[in-house]
Amino acid sequence: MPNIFKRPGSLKFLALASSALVVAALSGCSAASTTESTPNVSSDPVSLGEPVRGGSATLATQGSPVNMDPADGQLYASILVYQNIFSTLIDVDKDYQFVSNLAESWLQEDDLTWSFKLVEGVKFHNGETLTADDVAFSIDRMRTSGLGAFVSVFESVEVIDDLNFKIRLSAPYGAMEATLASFVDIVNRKAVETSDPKENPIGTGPYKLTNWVKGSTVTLTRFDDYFKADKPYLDEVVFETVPDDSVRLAGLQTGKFDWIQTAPAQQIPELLESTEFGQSNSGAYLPYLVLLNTVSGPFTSIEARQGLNWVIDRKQIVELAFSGAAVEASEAVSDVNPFFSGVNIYEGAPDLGKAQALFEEAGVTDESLTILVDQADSAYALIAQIIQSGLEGVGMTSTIETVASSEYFGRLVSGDYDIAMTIFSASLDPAMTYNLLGQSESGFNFTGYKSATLDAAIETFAFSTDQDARKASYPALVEAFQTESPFLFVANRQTQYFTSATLGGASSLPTLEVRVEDLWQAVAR
Amino acid sequence: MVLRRLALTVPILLGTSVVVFLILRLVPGDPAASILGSNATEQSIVKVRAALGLDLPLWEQFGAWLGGVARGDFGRDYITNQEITEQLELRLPITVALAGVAFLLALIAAIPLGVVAAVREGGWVDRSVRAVAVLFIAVPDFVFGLLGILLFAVGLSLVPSSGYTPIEEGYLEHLRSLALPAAALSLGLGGVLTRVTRSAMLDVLGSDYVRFAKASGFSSSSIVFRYALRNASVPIITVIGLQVGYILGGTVVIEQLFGLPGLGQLIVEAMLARNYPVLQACILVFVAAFILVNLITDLLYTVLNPRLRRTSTS
Amino acid sequence: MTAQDGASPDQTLKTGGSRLRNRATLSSRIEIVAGGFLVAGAVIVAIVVPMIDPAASTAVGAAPALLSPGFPNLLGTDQLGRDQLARVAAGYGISLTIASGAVLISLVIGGLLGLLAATSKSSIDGLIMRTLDVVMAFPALLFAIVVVAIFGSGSEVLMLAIGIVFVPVITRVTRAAALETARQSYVEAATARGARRSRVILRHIAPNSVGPVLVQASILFAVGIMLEASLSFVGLGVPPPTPSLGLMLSTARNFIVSDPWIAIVPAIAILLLVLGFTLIGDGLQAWLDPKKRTTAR
Repeated sequence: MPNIFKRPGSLKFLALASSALVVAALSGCSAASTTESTPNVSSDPVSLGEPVRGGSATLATQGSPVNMDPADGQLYASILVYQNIFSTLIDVDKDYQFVSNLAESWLQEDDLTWSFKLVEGVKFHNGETLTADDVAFSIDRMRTSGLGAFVSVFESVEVIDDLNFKIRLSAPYGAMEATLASFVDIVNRKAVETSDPKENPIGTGPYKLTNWVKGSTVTLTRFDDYFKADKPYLDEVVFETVPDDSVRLAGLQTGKFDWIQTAPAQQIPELLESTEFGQSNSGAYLPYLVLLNTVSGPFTSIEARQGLNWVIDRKQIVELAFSGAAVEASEAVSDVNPFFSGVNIYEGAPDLGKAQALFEEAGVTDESLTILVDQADSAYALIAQIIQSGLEGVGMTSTIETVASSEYFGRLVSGDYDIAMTIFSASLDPAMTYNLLGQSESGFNFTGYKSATLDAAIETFAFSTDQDARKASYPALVEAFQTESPFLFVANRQTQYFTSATLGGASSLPTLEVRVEDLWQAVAR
Repeated sequence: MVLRRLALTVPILLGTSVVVFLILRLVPGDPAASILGSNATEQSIVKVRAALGLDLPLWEQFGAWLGGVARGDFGRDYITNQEITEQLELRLPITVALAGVAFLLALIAAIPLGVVAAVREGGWVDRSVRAVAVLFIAVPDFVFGLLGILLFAVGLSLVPSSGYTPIEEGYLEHLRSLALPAAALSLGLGGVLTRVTRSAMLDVLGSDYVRFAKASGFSSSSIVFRYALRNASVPIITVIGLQVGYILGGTVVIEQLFGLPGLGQLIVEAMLARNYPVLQACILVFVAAFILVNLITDLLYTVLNPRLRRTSTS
Repeated sequence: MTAQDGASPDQTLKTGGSRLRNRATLSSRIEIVAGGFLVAGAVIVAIVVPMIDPAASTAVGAAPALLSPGFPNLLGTDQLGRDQLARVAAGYGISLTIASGAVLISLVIGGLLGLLAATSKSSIDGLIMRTLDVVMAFPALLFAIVVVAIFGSGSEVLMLAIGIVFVPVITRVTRAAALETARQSYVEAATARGARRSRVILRHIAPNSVGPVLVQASILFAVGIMLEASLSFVGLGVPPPTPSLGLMLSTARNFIVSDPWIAIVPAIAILLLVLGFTLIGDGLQAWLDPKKRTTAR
């Protein structure tokens, strides 16, 4: 076809040039820049040498803190951050040994009384000195707050002098030290009375809060008068909220983040082998469990609950929902925990035949169940789908309802579900878990299950201070809970943090505490 | 006509703000209960409702909200109690950068290609440009984004696969983090623009005026640039106005895919968390932007085409 | 086919004569056929594959997870060991169902509104069009998000949400067609004879509107499928485990480095389906109205 124009040269050139310009702009500028700079320090933690003071680090977390008041911290995302602003009386190490923190020494005087002596001269961020009065104040206010259930057995705190005090319990409590190590952060009475503790946390911890962009970043700066003279190492720490697993990992790979909370499980083998990144130890410290509505619906009958236990394929959950980064669990703790019992009355599950028989006995067939899933953690949805698939094997249909966290808790409380998934991050001592979730009168008893047998088993295990006797009575507790099964454990997730090659000191702890004071940068940043 | 257009914008803005305001009031569930969570009791719910102004008549609430918005105060977020305006200020630049770069990419690529295709009508250049344009229109932006990540980020390591680098950390890195998302976002607009440009150019080039100019000895390039493009720009600009809506909607998905912390991602997060005040604010901003862009294109339309200044359109 | 069918000399010049006119229709035929082939293929897959094994799309652990395409899982498996081909088929089913529902809703509502607007007095016409302006002020995806925010997610809500987004377009097309019909001389003649204007328009509108409405419908199918996929991608669409192509893409993101096939399969699947409808719409447009070679989305 004849072209209208005889000399298209200039046009053609222009068109080509502009297209070329676009292409060049896109690729040229990226080709000119270098990719991730390779660190000149090996990632093998041993060769990182001794901790060095100075530098900063950016830690990418999954969630975002909502309030900094340790008496009210119900979200793990908040706890993770503010545990570096406050200190507990006691700490726990990787080997489940209790070590002193703010409490220089402590002693169990009798079944109901524990006495403590504080380290002298500990300062709060506002210059005030730590006294026993602050401890009494902290524990008292916790009792009437969101985390009150954990300290419900703490009857009173008797202040003897500035450094000495006694905690009196209403019943002997085997998980006393564990509770103190997990949740009881000490606040300053004066600070709480003069400003909003949710927004202005004043603690004795290694870092002060200097900036908080809600939903985005938290900046912590070194507290120079920290009572541990040699710590912390880093001058500044920034917690950044990155809800997306792949974006977090990408940030680690490009050097934007020095530490990430979780990595997509299927990338873990690669990360472990790579010399570009470091990692902490890994421990199966986080139990995932399934709550059953025992007040209304099909799971009011014990046969139905037991039937469900025979349906669930824990091996598949570990493989498919966690890509192997978890261990099967039938109790609150995994085998790294001193209490671990290994009891599993449903050995050999899944067994659809047994499940079917039990469901029929319960009169629960052809039911349509609701599985409630909190949208915050992608593992829940995967576990739910696996359970759903299992249920189909016994002819039961189920719908998975994924809801926002705020709605999720509302529905849990009002019993608007049949099956719900959750985690329970307080399992340093299994008494905390079973007591809070399973005791008839507990405020955290979402399943609504009340049983004298279980209460008795909890009483024996939790409310005794003879640790040997406790260890001996634990298997019976596990078995009792497995038999009546108001909730059941499915897996215990491996907690492992991945870091840049130059960040040392990262460790994974049974309390799921992220101890930033241990971190250091081998290369000054 | 310009005044008419401006006058029409006001009721549209008002109408859309009513719809947006109603989101919060029509959703199931009680905002007070969800704020209080497990601490909800009868009295506390009543107190919170009063504090939020939820016990006032609907039109009063609307007035208060609208008044606040006019002052630039979008209220507070239910969940974190943060000022929504702050969140918007943080995130808006990112979305604007993304949409802006996408828009520019589309313009820079589409218009020359459309012109070339028109000039070379029927030839293989024309056919391939049209085929590519159809493909770009048909590929959903996040599909291209995903495939692009595979190819350019994972395979060739040219750009990061996700995440946003602000300008302060380096102009080049900033552009690199936006390159792939903006490219993905620009495809739909680019494809449509190419075709519109081509067809508008064809229309103009086939007209009597051009034949006459050619016969009179004007050079082809001057005809194209001084006359044809100017007249072809009218339908091009009309289409741009419509397509901007798709770019704005597209930022929601693209920001999610690439992990860019912009307004689009905020909308998704707010939706998933049932954070309705934030959702309201974001949608209002988007809609206002869209209306604004359409207003500008309409005005440009009349500027470029004086004949229309006196006639009315429907 | 030369200039005898009323084409002006200008048009002939622009289109380069009869040969190009032929080619224009031929290429539009190719587009329609190619698009039809893709759509028909998707429909067949959506219907036939589930008949082979109805549970395959949600059967967790039926096969090892994250397999690449091969035997027996032709398109591989996803992270829970479910067959990708079955999931794509189910995903096609969902996309087509929701898109069909949305287009149907928009045709019914939009058609009625368009006719109403065209045959009523100008104040009602104005009211309808201004209300639709408000709807059109929302970018499509955002409007759908607003509807989902109010009514919750689920297939029916998605159909409604997307359908309402399309109503303004269909209304305009129907209204324009009705007004065009009204201009015809036989309408004048009929009204002169005493018949009601609106009745006459309704009776004769069909030939004028079928073309443009068909074109818009195919475009709307394409857009509807993209909107549903986008909503599912960000988590606001059909809830899991019902496989939606958008949802499959969203979960595939975490695996893209190690197992790219889990992302490529749904990506290509959506691409082909949307391309099919776009080609049909394009071809129809070119065939029915060769002067306008563009399709605005």
